[in-house]
Amino acid sequence: MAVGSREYKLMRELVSCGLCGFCLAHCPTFEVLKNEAFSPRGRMIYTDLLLKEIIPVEKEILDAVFSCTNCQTCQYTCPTSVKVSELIIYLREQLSKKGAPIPQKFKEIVMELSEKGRLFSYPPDNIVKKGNPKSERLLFAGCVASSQLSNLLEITTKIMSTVGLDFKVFADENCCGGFLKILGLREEFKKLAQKNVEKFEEEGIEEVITICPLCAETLKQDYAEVTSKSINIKHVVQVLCELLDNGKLKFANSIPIKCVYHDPCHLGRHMEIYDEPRKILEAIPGLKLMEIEDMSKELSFCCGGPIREPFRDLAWKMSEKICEEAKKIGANTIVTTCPTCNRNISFNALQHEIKVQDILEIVAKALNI
Amino acid sequence: MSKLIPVESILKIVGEENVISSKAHLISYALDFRLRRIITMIKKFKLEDFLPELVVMPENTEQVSEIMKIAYENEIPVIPRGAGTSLSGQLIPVKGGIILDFRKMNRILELNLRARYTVLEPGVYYKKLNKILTENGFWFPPDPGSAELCTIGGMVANNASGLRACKYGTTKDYVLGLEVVLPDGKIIKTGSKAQKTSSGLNLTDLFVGSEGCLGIITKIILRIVPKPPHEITGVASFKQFETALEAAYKVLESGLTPASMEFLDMLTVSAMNVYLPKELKLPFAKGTLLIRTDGTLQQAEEEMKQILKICEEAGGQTKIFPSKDAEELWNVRAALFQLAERALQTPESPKMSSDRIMDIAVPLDKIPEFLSKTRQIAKSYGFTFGSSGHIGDGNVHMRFMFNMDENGIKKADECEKKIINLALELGGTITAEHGIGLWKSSILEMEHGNAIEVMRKIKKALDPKGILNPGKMALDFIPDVAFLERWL
Repeated sequence: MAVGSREYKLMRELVSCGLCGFCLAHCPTFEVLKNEAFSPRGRMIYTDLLLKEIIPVEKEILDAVFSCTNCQTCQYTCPTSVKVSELIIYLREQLSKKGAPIPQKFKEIVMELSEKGRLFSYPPDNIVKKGNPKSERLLFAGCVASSQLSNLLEITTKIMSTVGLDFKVFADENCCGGFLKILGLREEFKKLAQKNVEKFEEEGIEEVITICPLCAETLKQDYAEVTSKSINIKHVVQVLCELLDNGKLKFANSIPIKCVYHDPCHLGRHMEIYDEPRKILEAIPGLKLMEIEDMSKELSFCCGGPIREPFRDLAWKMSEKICEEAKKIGANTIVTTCPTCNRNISFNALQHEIKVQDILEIVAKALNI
Repeated sequence: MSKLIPVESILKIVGEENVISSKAHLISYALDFRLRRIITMIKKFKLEDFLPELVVMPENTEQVSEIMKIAYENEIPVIPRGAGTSLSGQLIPVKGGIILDFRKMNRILELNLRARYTVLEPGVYYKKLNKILTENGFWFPPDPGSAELCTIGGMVANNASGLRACKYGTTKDYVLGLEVVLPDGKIIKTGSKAQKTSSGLNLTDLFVGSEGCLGIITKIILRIVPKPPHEITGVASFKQFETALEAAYKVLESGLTPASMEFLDMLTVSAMNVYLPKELKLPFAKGTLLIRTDGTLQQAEEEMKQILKICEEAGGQTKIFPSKDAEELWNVRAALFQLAERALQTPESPKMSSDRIMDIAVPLDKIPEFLSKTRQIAKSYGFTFGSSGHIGDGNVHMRFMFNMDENGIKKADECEKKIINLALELGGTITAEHGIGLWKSSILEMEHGNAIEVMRKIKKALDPKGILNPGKMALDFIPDVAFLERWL
């Protein structure tokens, strides 16, 4: 282990953790289960003991390790910012190298990614056709927005066309690979990332706009591992905010909703984008924006979306808490900027009689498009 | 390990959702920062010897009582647990048994502002309580470093205090009464809701700070006080550490009453500065006083002005921090324990810290002598340490780090014992606020001598079968792992 290497730096993080437990204060999985094993402190203990081979790999420990959503609240509340989430990803990498099984539902997702290079369906033809094949700006659709929430793609293309931003969409778009990285499948991630980088180069892409925060973070922060070429990466909410600042977004319609903005983990804590979505919402006539105390911005409560498939009950309870707290303060809508959060919270929202909407949907209504 | 735990009976009492029995998950309840390092570096100590057998999360006193009846009948060890932030190994299961996790007994049952008390369950978070109290113009002032997470039950069981102790005292000064479940399941009440009492033996004070060894606290009647509306934070930096202490004495002797007055040496300031934003970084000085005054805005300002004037006359450079920045400054100060781990640990040779001397207190006037001699002792063993502390109450926090090899352990053991002897010769105590738990149990006798026998008789009278938090506070037996020399 060379001093200065990634492994050394991560082991330094591990040895620096004093198990003080400050990380528990806002950990969503611990908040729901009240079981130390599902807390960052518990996971740090497992990381240490598994890496040193003091305890064997067991299913129940793997559940604790793989139920971490990588939300990074623990890193935010740690007094010395120990990189707990990164250590958990590193542990998953090491477990994967040793052939430890990952939860079955994750395995199925990984198999689909390996076979198709993406999850679910490809971007719809009608969206791809709207693009300009010569454009250097890529609208990176992402797995969820290409399939379950393709209306978000439709809206984005309409807004971009309205304000005169040209773009293209790849008909054969690959997944960004972010999910593979989080699961600790580093080599698989690199392969996919490499493919995407080659495609970007072939197509002369200089700027990428994503709808999904995980795609934005992965392309912006993790692709440095496979390419030295710098591409301008933006989440769509950043683009909207720039347009607002430049006076190109003029909201004609009043949207009389009382809403809370749910900060997606990968846009908020991971990329520190908190102000842009709020600025947009505050500019919409009739819209009242509220904040859930101790659950917004840096302390945003992860909805459980990334772990929904293997840990449905846990993810359900996590999103339930968001709906309950939003209702408590009188909100009738939860606005987010992440297709995964959108889907996951929506499962729960119905019974709480609260709506979940992407900021794109609200902007489209306010623009009357 | 205890006799077989009748899990089915416990499940009937609390329900499946309140029981953790997976051995794999129980591992996460076994370790604190010190034991984690020991079992990963010293082969003779095995994780298996520190595992609980069951975690139970009761929801009310009756459930606790029923569980205790089962535990008593079957001689099963029981360890009550709050947020798991104790610093002396109070929660480590050394004989297996049941951990009673109180996070689900977290209700504030009564809040009476006119009578100035609140009744609450032990799992109420300190932060939550103070948020509610503050909204009503009141507070519970003791503020331990673990304030972000700790529970009131844990604070009571450890008689926790913190940075405001010099003006506001410790947890015991606020506990008016308790509901306690005894080892056989009997429920007793101590104290009252009145602000004072001289009725009978003071059982409330007996249970406060008893670290779960005498009874299980299930309700707390807590005295609350009006919260001063304003706080001002100031800092005074001195060229010499001794000058800083001398200035602090002058402040205390002047009749002024700072809410907090912390001394920090140069190493401590350096460690804090790593985590402070540019505008909050403390001047690099050999001696620093971090001071907080409170009251009405005028009172707080006037008192701070007078304190800083005294410091300036003693040669200090002074500065007042805006209130929005001050909170961050105090938060970093409160996290010194974590900062030290961060600054001093390396993967190639993880070190152990001298936790047995981490929170010694000496009479106020002895702090300079104690620190000066302690430095010489540590230096003679090749150790250097950073020190800080609450000068207003004589509590000194200091740590050195030692290697986990034979030489390092031997030297650390000798050095710690010399420092402890010095503190006791000066009329001090081995622990001002962190408690004895497991890690200081081997040195308790150095302080208390044959008074320990009295403590053991009290333990025996209340817990004849020795099922409550065994192996802690030297009340029944002292586990091998508590003796540094037995690590070899």
